[in-house]
Formats: sequence, structure tokens, C-alpha cells
Amino acid sequence: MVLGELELVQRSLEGDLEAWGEIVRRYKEAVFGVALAILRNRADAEDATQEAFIRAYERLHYYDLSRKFSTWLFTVTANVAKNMLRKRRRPDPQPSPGRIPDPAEVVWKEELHHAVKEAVWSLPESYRAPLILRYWHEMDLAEIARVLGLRVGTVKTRLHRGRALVRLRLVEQGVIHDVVQ
Amino acid sequence: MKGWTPIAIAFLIGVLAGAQTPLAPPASPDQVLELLQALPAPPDLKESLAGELTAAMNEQRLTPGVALAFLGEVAELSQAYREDALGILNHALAGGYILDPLLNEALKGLRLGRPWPEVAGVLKLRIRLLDATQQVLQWQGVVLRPLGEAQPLPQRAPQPGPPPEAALVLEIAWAIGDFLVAGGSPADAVSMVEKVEERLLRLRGLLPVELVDHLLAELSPALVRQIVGLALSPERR
Amino acid sequence: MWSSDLEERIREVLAQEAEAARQGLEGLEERVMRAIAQRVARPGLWRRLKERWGLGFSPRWALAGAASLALVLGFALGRLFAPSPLPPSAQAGTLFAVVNPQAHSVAVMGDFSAWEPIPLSDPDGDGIWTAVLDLPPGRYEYAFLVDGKWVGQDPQADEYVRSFGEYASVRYVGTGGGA
Repeated sequence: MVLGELELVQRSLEGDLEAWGEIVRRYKEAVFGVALAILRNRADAEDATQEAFIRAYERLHYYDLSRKFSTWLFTVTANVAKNMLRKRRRPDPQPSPGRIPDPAEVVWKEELHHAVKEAVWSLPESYRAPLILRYWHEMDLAEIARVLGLRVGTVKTRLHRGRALVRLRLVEQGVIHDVVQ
Repeated sequence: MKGWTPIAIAFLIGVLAGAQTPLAPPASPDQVLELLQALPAPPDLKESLAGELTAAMNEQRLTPGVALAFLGEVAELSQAYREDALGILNHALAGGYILDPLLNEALKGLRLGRPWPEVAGVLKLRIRLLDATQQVLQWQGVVLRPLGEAQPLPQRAPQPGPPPEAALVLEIAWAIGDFLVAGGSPADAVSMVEKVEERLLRLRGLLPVELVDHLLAELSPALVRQIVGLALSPERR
Repeated sequence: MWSSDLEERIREVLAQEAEAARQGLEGLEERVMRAIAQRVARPGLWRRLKERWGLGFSPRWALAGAASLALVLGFALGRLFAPSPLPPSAQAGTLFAVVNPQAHSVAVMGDFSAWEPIPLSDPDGDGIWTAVLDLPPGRYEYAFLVDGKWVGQDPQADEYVRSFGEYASVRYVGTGGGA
């Protein structure tokens, strides 16, 4: 852990809100990414991000200072987001990929980008969350396992299958033509 | 020091309890249905499966974690094999059986790296044995009505568990199936009776005792020959 | 499409999401601090009770409290040696053990894990690999993976079954019946 961060956490434990504000500034995008991976909806993810920082502050005395702070913070975030997902009354909002434009008018690379985006966001949550933690946050398998409460072997399997499902979706849409598994 | 003894014992108990390796967190039915929807497969098949899966999970005939793992493996199959796998699942669900052992059998085969056609062959045999066992037990009066007709589809209130007859059908069919899948002869009814008896006696503490005892009294090579004959008859394949 | 190409595309898509998210997160620090400050301004019931009646417990209650605390701390310490997630209960479990001093990794998989491997551990390096699983009563087929190789016959098993050309072991847990 960076010394500055440890000092910020200790000051926060002593009630220094400004110190916690600095923690929020440093981690808000990463925390948002974890929330979005689970909730898939930007507005909900923003709410979950705010709630996660409040919850983490209230539970800061449970945090073990010898452990990696980001992992602990992301675990709190994942739990907040999962609770929100369970309570969500309206159906899980589908991502809005937009119409795939006419290939004759658009460069193939842009079409592929849209298709990959739609495929990633349409993954089931159990596959989407590990994928996003891996490719957005560059987390290693052990950290993903800790944040999501899974075994490392399960994370490995879900990453592999998540990629396979994305590829299958791209083949379905005719964006790519091979099905190399 | 006297006061420290209970504290030390409490600490030790805590350490031992905490050192258990936990099983994975349970999956939810929603996760299962979500993965099903994401699978590339004919929409009408997925729609039928969604209803059947929901009912099976509600009635606790199928554990969501097992279903999720199975569908995850199915996702990696080729299109033809994937539809075959989902069709087998759909057929098994409609029978009203307890499904965990069937899907676990598939997972075991895939974990061993066996090709899908080999795994499918074993699953189809298991399902034929379940069908035949249920039918023969109905004739014997042990099972009063087909398991698949126990409740109306598709919306059902959560039940405390599967019907007790379902467990009996499962264990009998499974014991016979274990013998056949291991290479035992379908003509060796005596050995199969022994296998069924052994299984029922081992599980007597968990299965409904009256049903088990009734079945043990009726168990005979003739009964087993009826089940196997029905399961392997050409009309069923 | 090669795996590395697909991974690169996924990274690009998510990097774009991260960029788009920045605007929505502006001012979050102030919102969080404001929300926390509002909650701190109304102290909870426990703090109000403490302030009114003060601290202080009888020696007997202090001992009970200390024992409870020791139980929790011990549990937490035990958890440090076990993989996540959190355990469901503290009842007696089912022991799976493999003796293999040459092995580098040992796992058990079976009906209780949808045939996903659960690692066994050998913390003191004596070649005895163990895991204790909290299994509800029932019949469970399982096998071990020793350095990735299937080992289907466990000497501690109640019986063996053979399918797909390999053995698997079977345990009957909490059934009370015997054959």
C-alpha cells in the first residue's frame, strides 16, 4: 500500500472527512467500474458508487490495515451492487447498442466495436462481472475471486466462458465468421 | 489463569470452525435463467426450458448452482451438440424427476474430457431408466401418479421439497444405471437387485421409511427385469 | 478472430466506458462527505446509551464477553487459512484427505461442487492434503485431481462407481443407514 493512502485511511478512521474525500477522488472511477460490471446501468452504478463509499467509511474499522485496500473497497462495492441488483423491481435494463449501421457506409472496425460493446453488456452478470474486472481494472484472478466471493478456478472458468459467449454473439450477428473456441 | 481456560477453548473452537473449506456461494435461479437467455439456441426451446427450469428449481428438484454449471458447459459446445444437450435437459425436466444427479453425471463426463455424444448416450440411458422405473413403480402402486403431473405448469408456489416418491424413483434408477454404465449385463437381474437393495438401505435414513420398506418387500429380479426391459426396448429409443 | 484480438477489443470498449463515466462522477467526493456528515450528526442509539449510563460490566459478564470475542477472533483466524467465500455454518464437516508428498496441487471435485475442483491444502508440507467440507446429508460422488490427473479411488470412500471409463468414489454423509 502507498504510504499516502495508509495515512489517508488512518486519518479517516480518526474522523477526518477530508481524508476520506481524497480516497473517494482516487478510487471513484474504479469503484464505479465494479458497480457497473454488476448493475449494467450507469445511473444505478452511480448510486451504488456513492453508497459504497459511505458504507466503506462506516465499516472502516473492520478493514485490516495489512491487506490491500483496493480489494477490500471493491468487495464492499460488489456487495452493495449485488444487494441493489436483488432489490431492483424493474427488469434488468438491456444495454442500448443502437442499430448496427450499414456495413457499406461504416468502417468495419467501428461496427466491430459496437458489436463487442453490445456483446459484453448483454452477458449474464455471473460472466460479465469477472470479465469487466479483468479487462477494465486489470485485476488478477485471485483479486477477482476475493472481490466477487468466488473460487479462483470458478473465476478462470467464467472468464473463459464469458469470452466464448462474446465471440458466439459476434458470430451470430455476422460480424465475425470463425468459431474458434 | 483459571479464567483464561474457557476463553482459550472458545478461541480453539472458533479456529477449527473457521478452518472449514466452504462450498461456493449458491447461485440464484435468476442467474440460471439469465444464462439460458444468453445461449445461442432456438427461442421456442429456450422458452420451454425457462418454464421447466423455474418449476424444477422452485420444487427443489434442481439446484441452481448445478444448473448454472451445466448450462455453462453447454455454452461451449458446437451448435448441434448444444441443441441436443438442451433438448435432453428439456425432456428430463418434463418428467418431474430430481435432476441434480443427471446434470452432475454430465458435468463429470465433460470434466473427464469425454466427447458430447458419449455423455449424451449415458444421459439418455439414465433418463430411460428413470422413465421405466417410474412407470413400473406406478404399476406396483408405489408411485400414485406420474411425477411430471404433480403440479400444474408454469407458475408454482415454492414447495418444501420434491415429492418423496421422486427420491425413490431416482435412487432405484440410479443404482441400476450405475451397474449398466459400468459394463454390467442387462440380463444379470440378481446383481442389479443387490445394488438397488444396498443403495436403499444406505439411504434409509434419508428416504421415506415406509416407501423404502414397501419397495424392499417388492424388490425382486422380476421387477428389475421389467424396469430394464422397458428402458432398453426399441420403442423407447 | 484470435483470442488476443478479442481481448484487445474488450479492453478498448471498457476504456471508452471509463471515459464516459468520468462526467457522471464529478462532485462525488462532496456528495459522499455531505452524506456521511449528515449521518454522523445524528449519533446512533448505542452511543447515546453509553453516554447516558457510562461503561462498566460485572466480572462474570466480562468473562462471557471475552469468551465470545475469543470465539469470533478464533473463527476469523481459522478463516485466514481457508479460501473465500464465507462459510455457512460451524457444524462438523466431512474430511477429504490425500497423502502424496510429491504432489504440487491436490483438489477434490464432485456432486457437491458441480464437479468444479475445490483445492485441498497442505500448510505444513508433510504431504497430507486435506479439506473439510460442510455437506448436507446425502450421497456424493467425487474424485481427486492430483497435479491435474484424475484419481477416482479414495481409500476412505464407502463405495466406487465406474463411468466414462474411470472410477469415482462415493461417500454417504449423515445417512445413518448401513448396508
